[in-house]
Amino acid sequence: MIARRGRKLPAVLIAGAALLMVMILVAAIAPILWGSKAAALTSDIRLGHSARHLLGTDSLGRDVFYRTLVASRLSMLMALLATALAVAIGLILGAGIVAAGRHARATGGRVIDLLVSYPPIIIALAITAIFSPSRISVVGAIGLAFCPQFARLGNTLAASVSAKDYVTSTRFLGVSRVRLLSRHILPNIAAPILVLASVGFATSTIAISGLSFLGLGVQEPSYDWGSLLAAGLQDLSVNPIEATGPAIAILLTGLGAGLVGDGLARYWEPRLPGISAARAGKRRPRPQPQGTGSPAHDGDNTGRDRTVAEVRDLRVSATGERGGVPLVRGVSLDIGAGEVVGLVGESGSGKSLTAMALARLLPPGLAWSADRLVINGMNLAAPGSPPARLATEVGIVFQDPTSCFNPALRIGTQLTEVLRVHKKVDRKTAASMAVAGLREVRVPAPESRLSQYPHELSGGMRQRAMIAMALLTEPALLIADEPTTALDVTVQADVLRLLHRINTDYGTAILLISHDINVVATLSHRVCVMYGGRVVEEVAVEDLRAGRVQHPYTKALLAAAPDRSAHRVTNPLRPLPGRPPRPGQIGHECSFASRCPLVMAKCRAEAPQLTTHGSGRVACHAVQIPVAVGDEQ
Amino acid sequence: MSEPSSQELLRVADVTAGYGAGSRSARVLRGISLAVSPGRTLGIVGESGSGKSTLARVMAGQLRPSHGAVFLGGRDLGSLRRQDLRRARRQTQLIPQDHYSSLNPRMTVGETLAEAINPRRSPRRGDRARVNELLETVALDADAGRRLPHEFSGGQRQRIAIARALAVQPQLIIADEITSALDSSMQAEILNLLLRLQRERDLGYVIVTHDLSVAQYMCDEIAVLYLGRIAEHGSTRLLARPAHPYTELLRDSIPDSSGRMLTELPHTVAAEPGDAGNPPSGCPFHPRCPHGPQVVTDRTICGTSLPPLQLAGEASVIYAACHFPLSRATA
Repeated sequence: MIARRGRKLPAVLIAGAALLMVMILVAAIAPILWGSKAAALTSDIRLGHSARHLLGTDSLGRDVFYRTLVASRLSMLMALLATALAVAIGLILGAGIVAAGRHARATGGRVIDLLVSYPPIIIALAITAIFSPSRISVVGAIGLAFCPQFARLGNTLAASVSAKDYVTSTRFLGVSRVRLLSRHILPNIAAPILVLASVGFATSTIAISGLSFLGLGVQEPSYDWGSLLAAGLQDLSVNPIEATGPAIAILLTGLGAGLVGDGLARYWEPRLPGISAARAGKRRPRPQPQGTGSPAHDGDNTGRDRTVAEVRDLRVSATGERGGVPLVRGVSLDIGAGEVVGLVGESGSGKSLTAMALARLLPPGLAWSADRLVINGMNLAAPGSPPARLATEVGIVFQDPTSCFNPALRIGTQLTEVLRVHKKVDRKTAASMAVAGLREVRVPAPESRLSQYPHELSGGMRQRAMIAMALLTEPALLIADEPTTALDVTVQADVLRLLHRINTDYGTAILLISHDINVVATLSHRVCVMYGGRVVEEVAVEDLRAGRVQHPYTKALLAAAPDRSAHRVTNPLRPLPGRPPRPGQIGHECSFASRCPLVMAKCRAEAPQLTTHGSGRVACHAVQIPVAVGDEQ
Repeated sequence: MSEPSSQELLRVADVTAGYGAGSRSARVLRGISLAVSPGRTLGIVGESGSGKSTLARVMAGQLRPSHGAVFLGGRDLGSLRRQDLRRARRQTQLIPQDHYSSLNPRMTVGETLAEAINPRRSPRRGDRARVNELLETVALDADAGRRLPHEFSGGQRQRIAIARALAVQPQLIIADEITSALDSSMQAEILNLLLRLQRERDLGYVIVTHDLSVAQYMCDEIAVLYLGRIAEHGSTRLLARPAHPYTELLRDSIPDSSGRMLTELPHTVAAEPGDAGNPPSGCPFHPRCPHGPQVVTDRTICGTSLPPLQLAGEASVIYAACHFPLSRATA
C-alpha cells in the first residue's frame, strides 16, 4: 500500500537488496548442498588456504568455507527473528502507549526512556546468563534487548503523526481506532521504523554472533558465524585465515541490510529529494553562458540622483541532472538612494531569488550570472566571494524571524555579533549600539531584551529585533523578504509603519518583496511586478494605486486581491485562470500567454521585451501595439 | 438571550472554554454566545491569541466547553450519547488552516475521499463515482483521485480538504484561516468556490480569519474577538462603521491602495495584545485603546469595569462591549 508507482528505485536499495538476496540464496541452499561437506571430519586439521579448502580447515579438519556458507541459514534466521521480535514488542509498546491515553502516554514515555538508557548488549548478556544458553534464549535476549529502541522511535513518531490535522479530521469523521492506527498512523511511521529495523538486523547479526562467540549462544553441534569466529580466533596464531570467513559473512550481511535501510528511506519518502539534487548543491555557483539580447534599460525613470543598486540581466538557474532550469530570466532593476521598490508576484515568480541574488545569498545548487550587479559602488557581478563590506551595506529582513535567530543564543549576542565582526567595535560599545537599535524600532525595555532568548519574544517583537539587527550597520539598502506575511494585521501595520519611518528618517533604500499587492502598494514608491522569472511591469505607485496599470497580469493581480470595494455579489474577486508556468516549461513565448485574456498569435511566438510605457515599463505585446489613434468623435 | 431555535444550525450559548485542568488550566474563551443559520456566514475575526481557533474547535464539537452549551440543530451536544454525538459531529465539518498536515501524505486523494464517504468500511469500487463527483464539485480533474497530496499546490490541497468536508454532506462548514497561507489568486479561487457551494447547498459557514477584507467579502455577520471575549458583534456593516475601537484598529490596519495607513493611523499605546489566560482588568482592550484611559485620562472606568456587550447603534443591530462606543456619525 505504501509502495509508490512510477518512482525510480534508488541505486543503494538495488545494491543492498542484491547483496542480501545473494546471502539469502546461500542461506537457503547451502545446508542442502554442502551440509555433509561442512560436517565431514578429516585428518587435515588447521590447514591454510588451498585450492581444496579455500579458507582452510578447523581443528577437527572441517572445511571452514563450507561451514561459513552453511552457518548463514542459522545466523540470518536468528537475526531476523530477533529483529522481528524487537520491532513487534517495540511497536506494541510505543504506539500502544500513544493510543492508550494521556496518563499512560506520560508514564509509558518515561519507562521507555529508562529502558533506552541501558546498553542493549548488557541486557542481552544478563538475559542469556539467566537462561541456559541456546539459540532460543539468544534470539529472545536480543529481541528484548533491542525492543526499547523501536518503542522509543514508534512512540515519538506515532505521537507526532497523531497530532496532525488529518488524524484529527479523520477521528472526528468517526473512523475507528484500529483503522486510524492501520491506515493513518502506521503507514506514516513505517519508513523510519523499517530503516531502523534493517539497521537492527545488521546489529543483531553482530550481537548474536558476539554472544555465540562468548559461548552464550548457539551450542555444539549447531554452529553459526559467531561460534565459527570463536573457533577461528582460538587458532588465530596458527591459522589466521580460519577467522576471515565468518568475519566477512557478518560484514556483508550488515552492509547489505544497512544499504537496504538507506534505500528504503529514500524510496518511501515521497518528498525526500533524490541524491542527485543533494549532490548538485555542492557545486559552487558559477557564471552561465549569456542568454540572448538583454532587455534594454532606459534609466530615465529611477527618479533619484544616485542608485544604491543596479542590476542588469540577472539570471538564476537551478543546476540539476537535466541541465539548468531557468528561474530568474533576465531581470534589470535599479534602486535609487532612499527609494522603496516593491517586488510583487505569485509564489514561484522569482522575486525572492532576485533579492537573494542581489545580496549574493543564493542557496547552493543555484547558478547565477549578471551583466551588471552593483550595490553601493561595489561590483558584485564577478564570481567568487563577495567583498566583506557587502554584509554591512545590505541589511536583510526575512519572513520568519523564528528561523533567523539562533534559538540557543541570547538576542544580545546575535545583535552585537555583526558589529563586532564587521565594524570591529568592542563588546561594550556594541551592546549600547544594540540597545539604541532596539529602541529605534520601538522594542519596549530594550536593555533587558539583550539577555533574552528569541523564544521569549513575541512574533512581532522578533520581527522588530530582526529589523534592528539589519539596521545596526547602517546599510544603504534594506531587503525585506515578505517581512509581514506571518504577522497579524495590526502587527503588520506596525512593521510597515516602522519601515516607512526608517525610510523617511534615514533615507535607507528598501527592496520590499511580497505576494500581497496591497502591502507593496502601501509602502513602495515604485513597484516591479514579476511573472515567470521576469519583470513584466514596472509602475509608479501613484499609478498602481489609481489602477493605471498596463499589463494584463498586474490587472489580474489587482482583481484577485480583496479590498474594501470587493463584494461577493456586486463586485466578486476574479481569480486568475490556470496556473503559473513551471520553471523550465517556458519557451520563447510570453510566459503569461496561457492565462492571458488578451493573448494574440504574436504572444505565442516571441516574448515581449520590457519597454517604456508612459512613466513605467511594461512587457506586453497587447499594450505595445500602438492603438489606432483616431478622432473618435 | 433567546432560546435556541430549530432553524439554527448551530448555537453556542455563554461558552467558556480552555485547555488543561486544575491549577494549570488556561481559559481562552469567556462567555461567548453566537449562532449560525443555513445559507448564512458568520465571520470570526481577531488577532492570534484572541481564541478564534479555540472557538472553531468548540463549534465543531472537538473541544468540550467548561461552561455553557453548544446546540446543534437545537440539540445540546453535552446531553448526547456517544453514538448521537458522532452523528451530530459529522454535520459540522472543520477545515483546518494548514494544508500540509490536513491530508494523509500516504493516501491518494481518492482513498482519503472514499474514507470520508464511508469511514466504517474499506473503499469499494462503487465509491469511485462519488469521489469523482466530489472532485468535480471542487473543480478538480477526476485524475486527481489517483494522486498523492504532495503533488498538488496549496490551493488545490485546500480544495481537496473542502471536498473531504463535503463528503459527509454537512450542513455547516467551519473554515479556520483556510486561505491565509495562499497567495491572492488562489485565495480568490477558494473564496469563490465556498460562495458557490453555499448557493448550491444552502450551507452555513463559520469563517475564522485574521483578514478583515476576507471577512468583509464572505460574511453576513461578524464577531470580533479580543482576548477570548466578543468585542463587537453584528452585521458585516460594522466594519465600515466600527463602534468598538478595537474593530476600528483592525480595519485601519488593512493595507490598501490609499497608503494612508502609514501616516494617519493613531499609534496605539502597546502594540500587542496581552495573554488571553490572564487578561487585563476591566475592558481587556484598555491598555491598547487609542480612545481609552491611556489617552483620555478621565476614562478610568475602562480599567476597572468590564463593559457588557450592548446595543451600540440606533438603526442596525450591532453590539459592542465598550463603555464609550465610537459615535456612528463620525465615521
